Amino acid sequence: MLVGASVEPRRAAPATDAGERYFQIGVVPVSVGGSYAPAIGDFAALYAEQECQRPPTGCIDVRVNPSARAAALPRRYDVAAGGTDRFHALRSSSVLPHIEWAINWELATSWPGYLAVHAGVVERNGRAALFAAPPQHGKSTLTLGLVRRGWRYLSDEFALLEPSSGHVHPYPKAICVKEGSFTVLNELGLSGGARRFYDKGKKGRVTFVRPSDCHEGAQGGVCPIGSVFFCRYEPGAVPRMTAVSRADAVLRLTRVTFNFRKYRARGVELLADVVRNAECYELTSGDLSRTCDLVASVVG
Amino acid sequence: MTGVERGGFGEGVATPYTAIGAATIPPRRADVLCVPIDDEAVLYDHVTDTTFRLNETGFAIWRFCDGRNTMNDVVESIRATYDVDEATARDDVGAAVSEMARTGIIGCNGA
Repeated sequence: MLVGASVEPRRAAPATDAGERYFQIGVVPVSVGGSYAPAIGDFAALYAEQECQRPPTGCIDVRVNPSARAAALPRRYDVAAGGTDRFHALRSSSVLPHIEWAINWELATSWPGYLAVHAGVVERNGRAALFAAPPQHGKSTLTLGLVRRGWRYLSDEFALLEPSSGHVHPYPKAICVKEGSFTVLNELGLSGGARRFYDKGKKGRVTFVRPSDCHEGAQGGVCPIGSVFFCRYEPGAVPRMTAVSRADAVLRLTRVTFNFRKYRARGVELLADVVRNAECYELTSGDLSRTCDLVASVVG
Repeated sequence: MTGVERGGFGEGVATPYTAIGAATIPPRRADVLCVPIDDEAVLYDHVTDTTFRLNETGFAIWRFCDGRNTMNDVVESIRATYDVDEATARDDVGAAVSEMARTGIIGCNGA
């Protein structure tokens, strides 16, 4: 699953610090530091609008250091989060995706306070639409398509549900577009400018789109969930949708909640409370524009 | 259709299933969380960390398995609720209780 990743956590090697920078990405505070300055610069360029001067409380701390290896060996980069090595990026072009992975890993496994559902989230008319999908089934692409149409963006990766209210809180990370969807960038008018591409291991090349590149005021805020879509992408398919029962939706959501085991019975109750006020569908997506039309027809 | 769909991260506990008879009392486990949603329900077994979905019929059968009703009582309740013939009710109840017992969320006590 993780190219070049170490499966045995070990302490990050000490190195000369190149500085530390701080970001508030929706409700997720992040600090990025280490001795590999280009990585810090890349991340800061992508999240310039979310940078803070002072460290926010409870930061997810990510460090990037070149691995301590013999000079004759190919260079690689250690990406640590929370003081523990998480990944080894095999080339400089894969460091930024690994920083993102490290943040997502912490959110999914140990960050407190939210039920972390693996889903894209957008908002329209004060209510969120969740798109839960297996990897490579168009979650981020569909999210991007809707945001480009003027919907507000909460995340392309996590629906962070606050337990007491069931509302979804924003984690507006840069939208990750994989190589198979690069043509979509042309369709959406997002292919211009100095776009950078990165290597995300087995997932191939990726690029990142900032929500602000889609439209002004694209970032959404805290809101209740109005609809839940379970998505599967079929190339060339006519987009179609069928209603699913709310009980079925709860069962499916437990399967895609990363930290469900921390909540267990309470998680079931929370997800049930969320879907009671939502419409739930199974969505087969195909052409992006037609799929967005279909989603808009039910969400309004 | 048994009315029971299993999901979640854990594996259901496989219990030995003895033959279900008309006089058998199938009690549902009191410690299994039951969350009604519309006409269906979601169950969570904390022992096996398994989540289940019950459709409308399965939820009705679950409710009738209250530790006092026999299998025959449950069949008659289903017949009255859904206006179905006895053979259909026996098939549905037998299949559902069998699956629930197999996953450990219901027990079966012989009379």
